[in-house]
Amino acid sequence: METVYALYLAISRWVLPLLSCLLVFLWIRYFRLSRPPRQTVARFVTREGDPSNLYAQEGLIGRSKHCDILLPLPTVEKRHAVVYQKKGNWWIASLGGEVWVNEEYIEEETILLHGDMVAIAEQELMFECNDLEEEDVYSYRMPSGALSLIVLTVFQLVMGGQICLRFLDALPTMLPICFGALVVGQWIYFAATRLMHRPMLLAELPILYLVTLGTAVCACATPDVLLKQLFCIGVGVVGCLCLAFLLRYHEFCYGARYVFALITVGVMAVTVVFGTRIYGARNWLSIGSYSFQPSEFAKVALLLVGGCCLYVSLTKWKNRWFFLFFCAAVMGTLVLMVDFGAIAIFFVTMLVILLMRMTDWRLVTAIGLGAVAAGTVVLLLYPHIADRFSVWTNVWQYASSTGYQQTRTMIAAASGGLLGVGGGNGTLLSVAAADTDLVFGVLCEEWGGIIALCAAMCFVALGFYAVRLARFAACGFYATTVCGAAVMMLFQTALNIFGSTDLLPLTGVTMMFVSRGGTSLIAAFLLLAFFKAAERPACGLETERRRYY
Amino acid sequence: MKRISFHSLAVIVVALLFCAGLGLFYGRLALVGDAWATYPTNRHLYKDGHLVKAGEITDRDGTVLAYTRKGTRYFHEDIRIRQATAHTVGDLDGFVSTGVHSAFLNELTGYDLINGTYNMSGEGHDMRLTVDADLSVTACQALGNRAGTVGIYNYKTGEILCMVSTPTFDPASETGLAEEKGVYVNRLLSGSYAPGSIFKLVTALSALENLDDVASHRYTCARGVTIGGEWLSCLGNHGKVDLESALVKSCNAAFAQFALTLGRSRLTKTAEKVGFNQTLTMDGIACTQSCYQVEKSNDIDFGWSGIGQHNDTVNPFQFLTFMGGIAGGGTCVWPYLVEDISSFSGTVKTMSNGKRVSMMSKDAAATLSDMMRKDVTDHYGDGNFAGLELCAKTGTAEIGDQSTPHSWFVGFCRAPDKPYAFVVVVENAGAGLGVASHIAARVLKAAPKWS
Ligand SMILES: [Zn+2]
Repeated sequence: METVYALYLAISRWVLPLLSCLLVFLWIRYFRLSRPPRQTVARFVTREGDPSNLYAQEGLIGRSKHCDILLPLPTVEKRHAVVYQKKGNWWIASLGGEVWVNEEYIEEETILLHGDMVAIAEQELMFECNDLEEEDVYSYRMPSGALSLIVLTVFQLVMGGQICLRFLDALPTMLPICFGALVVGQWIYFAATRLMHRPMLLAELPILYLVTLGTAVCACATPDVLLKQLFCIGVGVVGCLCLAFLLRYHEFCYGARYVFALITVGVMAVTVVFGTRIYGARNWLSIGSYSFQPSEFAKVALLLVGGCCLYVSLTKWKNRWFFLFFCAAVMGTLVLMVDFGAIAIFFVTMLVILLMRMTDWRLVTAIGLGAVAAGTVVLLLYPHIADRFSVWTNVWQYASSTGYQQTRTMIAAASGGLLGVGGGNGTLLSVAAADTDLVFGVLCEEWGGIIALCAAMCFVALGFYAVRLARFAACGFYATTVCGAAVMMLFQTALNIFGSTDLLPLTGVTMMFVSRGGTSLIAAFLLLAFFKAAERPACGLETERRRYY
Repeated sequence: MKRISFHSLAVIVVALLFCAGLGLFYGRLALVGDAWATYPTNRHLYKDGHLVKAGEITDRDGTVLAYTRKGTRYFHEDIRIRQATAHTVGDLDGFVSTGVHSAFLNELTGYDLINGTYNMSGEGHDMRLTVDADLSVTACQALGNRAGTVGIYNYKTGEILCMVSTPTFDPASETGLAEEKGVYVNRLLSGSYAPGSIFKLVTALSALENLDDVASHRYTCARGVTIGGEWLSCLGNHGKVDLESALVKSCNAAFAQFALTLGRSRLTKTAEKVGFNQTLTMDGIACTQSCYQVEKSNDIDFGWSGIGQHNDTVNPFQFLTFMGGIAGGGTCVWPYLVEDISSFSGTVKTMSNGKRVSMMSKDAAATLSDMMRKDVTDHYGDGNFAGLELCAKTGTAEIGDQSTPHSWFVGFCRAPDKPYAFVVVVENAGAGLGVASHIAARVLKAAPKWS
């Protein structure tokens, strides 16, 4: 039996990286082929009959080249006015420029109807809306992604087979069952998306790949919590679908923004008071025998509140200040929890969200400088963080003390080479927090540098996909949140990978979807909801017609 | 929306930074991954800090010098072989940095970037060395409890047959010995001694290559010679000598005057051509430099430098290659130690053996070779070296204080069945002709016949 395993390992350690590369190739091909068409949801037509099309449910009017309705006249402001859908109507609001609708000067946001005449700096435009139904916008054909899913299934079976053979002497029955459940689950999901005509797997495929790796690491490290892991994946998927459903009603979210913010800050405050400390950070909240990390959900709340507060209402400073205040409050609680990895992720995501909607660069600069100052104060107040910086880039000098985790990760990564030593054959798993904070090293050691690289590239793929979604999103809410989610994933993965390999200080954050964990896994799936929500293309509106038409 | 979509490029910026970080990590993995993998806490390769996962090391006849069984590393059962090959094979804790266990750690453990520490056999790669274990034992016994080194290599193929350094240790049991005696230094590769008279071979070579009519250059020796107002003494009163008789008689006065005739730059150039002032390598292992620095010396010091005193230092391995160069007709077939590296599935790495280095003209090599032969027949006595057709030169390295000088014996055999160049250094052994030459004779006679 040992020779069978040796032979299987010798072959599969080549097959798995090859399948991973094939998956990367297939994903890129899928990405290129599944570019959705742009559909006009409204247009402004000049007197001469030249149309300016609006492809999303909101748009800017002005002379800046980044305006959707471009009016290159010196008398037009850079960002003159904004049009958007709200409460089943199209609206127009001034951003500082003078706007007349049907020859009436407007001071507040005003409903636009089909056929309305909008005058901006002596330029007369007629508004026309296109009543695209939701069913119409989904009618275009897309590649199904089934091929990728088949390759992924083969990958999962080969990987599961290798682990089963490795532990054949004392095989936990959960192990093959969990791998089987993963395969079956993903095909049920696939069938469901086909039935519901939402055939988009661009975000799911990288995440399924990562979840497979996470399951493999868990199966080798702690097979007894495999079932819990699988349960969390299930909860995560359901939570993701629920949140995606909620996000469809972004106007409802907008209305409930204060509620979201209050709940988040409240739970974080409770955690500060009653939280327990596990591995340095006091960010665990226990209810009965069940404990979870509220800061993971706070990340999701940040995107939600950020998306709402920086909603299309660019005119309202009140909302922007509220968002900054919310961020400051949450980061304050994180400082009290001594969870610096989460603070960094929170801060970077906040900056990106602000940047997506920002009109004023000075504010971003001020926030950046404020962060530098705050960081300095933090380093002075918490010497153990400064210690982490002192060992940073010198880990080999402290290989048996403060650099222990990083050096072991690098030793393990090199031991695995590009192809890995096989699941369950690694040495890193005996180090504390190996399957959470150092999981990249486990991937490198047991599954090889190529698979670890593919795992890292999954997050890059999600980043590129988020940028695509931002371009085609129905409105700014989805564009902002999906980019925030992508940056959050990328930055957290960067902290995880580069922290454990001494390119950045070790902060002890997880690698989303791969690291073992309950809350963090569920929260990671919640981020997927922002992708699913942003995939919905812009719809039109049917409005009553103005008399002039 | 255009504006938001433009600002979403921030995500691309973050993604590209992330990719740059990954590039940095994988670049470091490719460049220094071997150092990470062979760090002594790596439990893929080490147990309790001792190397366990490594292949077999065998000598040229297949005698297993070191091997791993069931997670423990063993050396040859015979303590004499263990001690004689200790510096070649190296210890498991890395005290002998030039030993195979340290210098070829990647090859031995089978580490490479693609496979990491994985081998299908579960063992490392096997290495076959060119050394002869029995000959090493002979050399080790010949050196006895004196400190020194014996290096012998086949100047036709480059194989190092014998690389012994004393004092030695038993790698199977003795580690962490006191460092001051230098037990962990392989004196052949890392030693550095004053050359004494063996440097006259370099001066002679320079004269042969640079002076038009060498035979016409004759110098007077009157138990020495006055240079720049200072006395340079000679061991005999040699009268008028030419190059050949000067070498046979090892006349200091004549060679000092040859050096002055040649001048600093020409002599330095010759010295550098045969390996002085350069870091030489043997199978990638860096050796200690031989030094010849005379730019700033005055005439008397320069005269002394021409006969191997002043501040000259010589690394035994460098002189071994020089001997190989003379024996090989001006071109040295570079010595090597590792014959091949193989895994259970076949040879995994062939070393770039047989590198040739041109050192001198064919004529100069032939003349020098004949002179060294005459040295043996006329001076040292060929009877001690029967059947070897030995060409050799002795050296006595004065070491400043009142200690007994180090003794050198270098050269090569011209017998077709023993094409071996050799270098013997014995510390504090007095004149070169004596202890060192006896050791050389004993080891060369024991050396296997080559066909
Ligand atoms: Zn003389």
